[in-house]
Formats: sequence, C-alpha cells, structure tokens
Amino acid sequence: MPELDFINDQIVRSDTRTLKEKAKDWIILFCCQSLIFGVFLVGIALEDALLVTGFLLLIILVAIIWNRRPDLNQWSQELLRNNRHFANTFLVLILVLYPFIFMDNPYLIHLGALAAIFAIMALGLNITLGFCGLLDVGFAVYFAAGAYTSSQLAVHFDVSFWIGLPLGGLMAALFGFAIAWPALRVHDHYLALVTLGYGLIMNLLQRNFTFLTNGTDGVINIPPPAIGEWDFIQPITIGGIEFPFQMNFYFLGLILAGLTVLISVRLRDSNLGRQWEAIREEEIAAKCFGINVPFLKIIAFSTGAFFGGIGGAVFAHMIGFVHPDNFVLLTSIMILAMVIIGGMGNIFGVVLGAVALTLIPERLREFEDLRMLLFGGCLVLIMIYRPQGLFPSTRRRRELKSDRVNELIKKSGRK
Amino acid sequence: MEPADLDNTILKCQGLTKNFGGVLAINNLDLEVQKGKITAIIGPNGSGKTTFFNLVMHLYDATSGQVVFGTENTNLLELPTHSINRVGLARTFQTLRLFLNLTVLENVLIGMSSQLNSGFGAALIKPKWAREEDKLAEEKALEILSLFGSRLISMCNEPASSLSYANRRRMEIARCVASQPKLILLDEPVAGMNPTETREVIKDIQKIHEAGHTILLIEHDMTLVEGVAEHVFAFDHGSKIAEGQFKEVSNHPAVVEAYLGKQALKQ
Amino acid sequence: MIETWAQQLINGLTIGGMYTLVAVGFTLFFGVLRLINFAHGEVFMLGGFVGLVVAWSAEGLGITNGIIIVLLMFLIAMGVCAIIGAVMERFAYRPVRGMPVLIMLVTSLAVGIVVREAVKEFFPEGANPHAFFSPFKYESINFGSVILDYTQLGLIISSLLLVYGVHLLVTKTWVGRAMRATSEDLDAARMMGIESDVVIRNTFFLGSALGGAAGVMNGLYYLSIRFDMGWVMAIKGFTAAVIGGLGNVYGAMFGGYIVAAVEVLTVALIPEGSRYKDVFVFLLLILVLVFRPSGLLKTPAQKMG
Ligand SMILES: Nc1ncnc2c1ncn2[C@@H]1O[C@H](COP(=O)(O)OP(=O)(O)OP(=O)(O)O)[C@@H](O)[C@H]1O
Ligand SMILES: [Mg+2]
Repeated sequence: MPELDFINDQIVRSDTRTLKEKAKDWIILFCCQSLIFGVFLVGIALEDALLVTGFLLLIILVAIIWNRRPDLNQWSQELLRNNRHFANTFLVLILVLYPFIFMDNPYLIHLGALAAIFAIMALGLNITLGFCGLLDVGFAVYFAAGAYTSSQLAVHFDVSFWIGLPLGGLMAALFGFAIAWPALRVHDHYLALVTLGYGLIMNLLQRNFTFLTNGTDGVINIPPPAIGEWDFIQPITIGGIEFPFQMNFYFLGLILAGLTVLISVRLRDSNLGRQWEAIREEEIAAKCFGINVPFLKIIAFSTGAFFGGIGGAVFAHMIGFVHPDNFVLLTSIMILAMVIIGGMGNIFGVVLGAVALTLIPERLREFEDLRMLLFGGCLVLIMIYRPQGLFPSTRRRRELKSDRVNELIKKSGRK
Repeated sequence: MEPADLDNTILKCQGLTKNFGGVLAINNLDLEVQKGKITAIIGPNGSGKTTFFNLVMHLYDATSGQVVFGTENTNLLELPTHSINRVGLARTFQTLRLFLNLTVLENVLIGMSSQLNSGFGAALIKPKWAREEDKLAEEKALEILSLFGSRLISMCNEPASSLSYANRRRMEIARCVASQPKLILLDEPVAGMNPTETREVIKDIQKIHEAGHTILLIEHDMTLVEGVAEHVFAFDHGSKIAEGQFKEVSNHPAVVEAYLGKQALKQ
Repeated sequence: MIETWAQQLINGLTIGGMYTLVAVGFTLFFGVLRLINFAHGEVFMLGGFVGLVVAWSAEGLGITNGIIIVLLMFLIAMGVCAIIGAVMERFAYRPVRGMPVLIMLVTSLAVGIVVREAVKEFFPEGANPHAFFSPFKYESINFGSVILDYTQLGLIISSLLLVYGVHLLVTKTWVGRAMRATSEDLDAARMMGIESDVVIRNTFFLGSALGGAAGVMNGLYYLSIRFDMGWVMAIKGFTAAVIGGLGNVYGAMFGGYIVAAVEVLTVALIPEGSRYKDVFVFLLLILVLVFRPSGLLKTPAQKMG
C-alpha cells in the first residue's frame, strides 16, 4: 500500500482512463475501503479481550497471506495510486463520521482523541527519526514539556489553552534544541544513550522540581480548552441531539493531527526534506555537498519536539491531570514503537502505528498486566520478522513527465 | 617544470601536514593547481592522496600548513565542510557515498540543494517562487544527467541503489557537477572498471572539462592519466615527489623508485 | 570528618563493586555484538530474585549455615542468569544481528520489558518489594564511628574476587582471549578463525552470570529487591562501561568505581543529594558520551568527518 498523500500537486502523471474505467476503479476501491474500515470499526467495538485477540490474530493472518501474494499487492498499489483523491476523501470521511457512529459509546470517541494525540507525537518523532535518521529515545521529554507548560500556565496564570498550546510546542522545541547540541557530536548507539539519559534526567527532575511541576502530586484540575463561555466538556446540542463532549476533543485532535500530516508531507517533499534524507543516508557526503548538517539536525530535533509538545498540551487539557509517571521511559519506547511498527518515514504508516498502539492496549484492558508482557513480546517478534515496519517507506518517487525524459534520452543518443 | 601562473592558480597549499597519531599521511606538502586544466595526482597506495582530498574538504583538521582557494584566497582550513562546497569545491569518494535510497534524480538535486533558496518556510507555505525554483532545479538536474548519455537519465526515478557499479561512479560525478563547483575533485573515478568503461568515463571527464570545469583527479589507471591530465603530481609518503607533464613525471627517477620499490617489497 | 569520608569510601567500594560487575557485561556485549543490551539490567534484577528463591528453598531444606546459603545463592543465580542471557542471545539478538542500530536497540528494550513483566506477573507477589535474606544481620566491625558490616566486607571481597576471576578468564584462557580479540577487532578475530557464534554465546554466559552475581549482591546489601530495580542499575552499569570505553573490560571495572564515587559524593556534598544522585550519574553519562566518547582512559581517536 503506498503512502496516501493529502496534497499531491506534484503528481503530473496524466490520467488516461476512460470515465467507465474510472467508475469501475472507484466502485472497487469503495467496496475494499468500506470492508477494511468496517472490519476495523467492528474491531474497535469489540469489548471482550479474547475476541479482540482473535480479531488481531485474524488480521495478522490476512496480512501474512497478503504479503505472500505480490500480485495482489501490486494490484492494490496501482489502484490506490490511480485513485488517490478518491481514497483520501474516503479516509477523511470515515474519520469525520467515526464519532457519530459510536455516539452512544463516548469512551471509544475518547480513545479516538487519544489516538490522534499520539499520532501527532509519533509524526513528530518521525520527522527526527524517519526523515533525518536521528535516534531519539527520550521523546517523552517533549511530551512532558508541552503538557507541563500549557497546564501550569492555565492553572496558575489563567492562560488560555489556545495560547498555551503553541507555547507548549515552543517550549518542547526548546527542549529539543537543548539536546540537539550535545547530540550533534554523537552517532548511533551513543546518540541513543544520550537521548535516553536526557529522558531519564528530565523525568527525575519532573519528580523533584516541585516548584515547576508539583512533583509527584502532579498538576491537577487543568481546565479544558474553552472558547468564550463555552468549554470543551460541555456537550454540544444540535437539533435536540446531544453530542457527547468527547467529540469536541476528538475533532480538536483530528484537526491538529491533520495539520501535522499536512506539514509532514510538505516537509518531506521539500528541498529541506531531501536534505534531511541525505543526512540520514550519508552524512559525510551530505556535508561535502554544502548541506549544513549541524543546523539541519537541530531543526529536525526542534521540529520533531515541537509536535511532541503540541501533543502533550492537548493531552494535558483533555485528561485534566499530568503526572511524571506519564513521561517515563516506557512512554518514549511506546512512541518509538509507533514509528517503527508503522514504518519509519512513512507518514501514513506512522499514523496507523500510533492508532494501533493506542487502541490495542486499551482494548486488552482485561488482560491488565499481561498487556505489557504481550507488548514486549510482540515488539521482539516484529523486530525479528518485520523490522521495516508495516508500511516500509517506499519513498514516493517524484514521477516526472515521462515524455520529457524520453525526449532527453533520445537527444543524448545511445552510445 | 612549468612556471606557476599566479593569477591562474585555483588551489594552493603550503606546508600541509597531517599526522595520524604518528603516521605522517601528508608531510609538508606544497602544490598549486591551475585553473581550467585537468590535473592528476598519482602515487602508490597509502601515499596520502585521499587524505589530501579530505584535508581540502576539511573532513580532517590539518596538523599544520595552509590551503587557499580561488582568487579571493579563501583559507579552506578555517571553513566548515559545507561552506567549502559553497565556495566552489565538490568531490567524489573513492568508496562511493551515494544517497542509496534516494532516486538518481534526487541525488543530483542534493548536489544543487545548497544553492536553492527554499528552506523551512518555503517548505510549509510553498510560495510560487519555490515551486518554480523546484521545477528549474529538476530541469537542470535532467540536463546534467543527460551529460552521461542515456545511462543515468533512463534510471532517473529509480533509487541509486539500483545502479550498476560503473553507473554509481558516474552518478558521483554527476552529483559533483550539479553543485556547480569551480574545482571538481575526483577520487579514482575509474577504480574497478573494465577498459571499455574506463574509456567511456575518460570521454565523460573530458566532456565535463570542456563544459568549463577545472578538475583535479586521483588515479592509479595510467591510461586515464595519460589520456586526460595536462599536469601531473606524484605523491609518495605524503609528499610531492615530482610534477609536470605525464611523460616527465612517469620517467622521473623518484616516481619510478616509489612504484617499483613498493612493488619489489610486495613480491 | 575523616570518619565520614572513610564511611563513604566503604560504601563507595561496595556499590562500585556491583556496578563494575554489571558494567563488564555491558562492555563485553558491546564488544562482540555492537549491541547495548538494555535487557542486562533485568538480568541483574532476575539474579536478585533467583537468590531470593534459593534462600527460601534453603530455609525449607533446613540449611542454616549463612555462608553456604550465600554461596548457593551466588552459584545458582549466576547459573540461571547465564542461561537466560544465552537464551536471549540465541532467540532475540541473533536474528537481528547486523541490523541497523535502531532495530537492535528496540529489540533489547523489548526483551527487557518481557523479562521485567514476566517477573512482575509470575513471581509470587511480584509487583511488590521483597525483603531479601541476610546471613549477617547486625554484625559489624566498628572503627570508631566508621561501620564496616560483614556484609559490606563480604561484598567488597567477593566483587574483587569476581573481577579477578574475569581478569584470569580473559587473559589466561582461550575462551576469554577469543572474547577479547573479538571485542577488540571483530574482523581480525574472524580471520583468525574464531567462531563468532560460540564467542558471542560464551560472552552472554559470562556477562549475564556476572549480572546475576551483582543482583544477589544488591539484595544482600539493600536487603530489599523489586521487579523494577533493573533499570537504574542498567543505566549505571552502562555509564560505567562508557566511562571505561565500551568494549574495554578493564575500563569497565574502573568505570564502576567512578560511578560509585560520583554517587557517594553527590549524597555527601549536596543537600538533598540522595534525590539527585541518579541525575548526576546520567549527566556524567551524557558528558562522557559527548566529550570523551571513547572513555576516560583513552584519548579519543579521530573519526572521519
Ligand atoms: N582516519 C585515519 N586514521 C589513521 N590513519 C589514516 C586515516 N586515513 C588514512 N590514514 C593513513 O594515512 C595514509 C594515507 O592514506 P590515504 O587513504 O590517503 O592513501 P591513498 O593514497 O588514498 O591510498 P589508495 O591509493 O590506496 O587510495 C595511510 O597510511 C593510511 O593508513
Ligand atoms: Mg585513496
């Protein structure tokens, strides 16, 4: 499955299909997507942990079979590539309809909002790790920076969420900037250790700098976002139907996640994104071709961290409570796992990874503590059998007008 | 020896020394590279040729000495590597360093990327000028790829990892040309190639030279050096032991000894 | 004043010995596999729990001699940990050998989660702290106000003995020399006909056994163990290994005592220092990685670029 992209003004491949063929494609695609989302929605609605497990096993089985059939794979990729707009529209539609489908189950809407928050953060890490190749095992630092900044501003200084949100992001970016300096001097394992140590130090400081963070008491009574008199925990009523207040958060999360996707896509397709990838591939060569490696690395760290902070701020105001236990190493590992399982560098995959890793553990609540054991075990298996993730980053190649290329080939003449 | 034409010197180094914890890889090296020419460096294995390139690009800190570049006499040893590219130097690598997961076209675009104006803001907002700049760059990249016949251009949307070995070496050269340098450094451009391929690359190099580039290349392949180089430096143990036309240098007693001595030792 | 310093020195030597043992494991694993085995801290934790089980069973079997119990604890914990380590290597690390750093890193983090959660779930009352067994309760030698209890004395001596044992093993035996050769130069070792699979397995045996021993020592010293104590130890262990230069066995020994010194000094010199002692250790880790990446002992080699 290729990356779904949301803005594709660079695609210049000419569409030569007749209307009839187009309609046929659309119908097939509509059926397939409906089926996939239908199965997905059923899975979300499952309550019983055993059923969920069975469901997951089924999906894994289908995935394995799919993987063994290159022809199916090819076919679906072609189909998606030729009908990007249609597929994207469908996807957005489902995401918008999701909370309406589960109106009588606000918890599922809440989970959706949580998934969106983690998607924002995973996309942030994807910029640092997926685009620029910088290992960051301390991503919870930025999560915390955003959450504490905006929540403490709101609690102590009555600062509105809408101001706290960007400030939270900027504070997180500052924390990313701070670690980027020492991180410039190290690579690979050492970089991992430096960021890991950073995450641990910050977590300890969150526990001990009581004057900033309330220490282990946590920050409580964080007000929800508000617009004028109305705040997000008041349900909206339209035409006599009361929509659960979780929907407010869901749409906030969805919009922010959508923006993050948009920004990620634009960064990836830009000159900057290409330079990041060059650094990831061959740092020395990148340097020799005029790329200011330290500067771009700092940008990558800060940009990634910014989204971590945005996610943190939304999280704080949605949950209403922030505690150092939210920002432990395990959180960093979780976000890292979202990126890796989804497929580093692949925006669609990363979002899917975030959604999966938010929803599945929640749906397995009945297994309580075994969940973490399962998570660890599955992670080992994935590393062994599918280290490239679910959707490996098959970079979308810029498709040039092939006639221009042909012309040049002809002009140059075969020797 | 030719008299050094001062106005025409593009790269000049004096007393350059590099000490790797006791190993003198470059030892008090003086040389001047003339603008507009193809110059070659020859020398036995381990004589410090690649180290010289690394010093010029400031990938290593020199132990002592200086390297100045261009008419403004820019001191390269004080510039960070990426600025060195921006003042007009580009190099290839003996051990290929392509961006393997990027497409052939993108590899060339990276070569040009530091000359593009679009940065973070342009990436997000995508103003008209940035899109136009992008299109122009692409067009330019295709032109550069077409310098090498159809070999690279027919692969322009494939990842560089799918190129054959010889084409990877061409790709390295194409990437250099893309950054519009005043001086191109080629580190063994035909290493590992068969004679036919070597002949083709010689033509490519000459074509690039005719397009107005100054080239400094390291090569073991004497047919190439004889075929293209107007001026030759011979290195041994990190020092220049001879310079001049290929004929003079290849018959220079110090050069003969450096090569034969080394070979005699090996046998 | 002198007395408090003497006391700190004794404490430092005790915990330094444990850090050293854990650090040797990290350094060996990194040497042969270019892997930072984050699960090693959990092996250490496991060592503590195995020791506890041994103590319980010994009680059940009616063994009362403290020395024998402690010896059994060491032997069995080391044995079990060695096997666990080798199993981890065989089933988790071997399949990802040679993969990108990130993959190996996440694998080892995940293996760590598995071990930790398994102990938490399957050990009786695993989520709670457990009181550890101590044969030498309340007995100590006092020099003025300086207290050296027998446990500490025993721990200092046993860590030194184990370290000496490692030294003998890596210098005097073929197994150890192969290990060291591999860790110093992987390719050269391979060319000399050293079979890397075997060396790596042996390394995991040795390193994990030392981790297990440290786990028992930790229990004997603090008299309480928890399922989540592996983490902090892991970080201190690899800080020690990094200080000594990853891959350098003797460096790791030196690093262990440095980390202990930092910790003891933080507690002694900084008000409320005990709350920040880990912060200083992590800070030390970052500083060493950034400014002396090849460790404090060696001058850094210049890297290309
Ligand atoms: N990073 C380094 N650290 C230590 N010594 C080095 C380093 N790079 C090069 N050397 C040493 O410097 C000397 C010169 O090496 P260099 O690579 O410049 O030789 P060369 O002339 O390019 O050889 P070849 O023809 O084989 O490419 C060699 O003895 C080499 O071992
Ligand atoms: Mg060379």
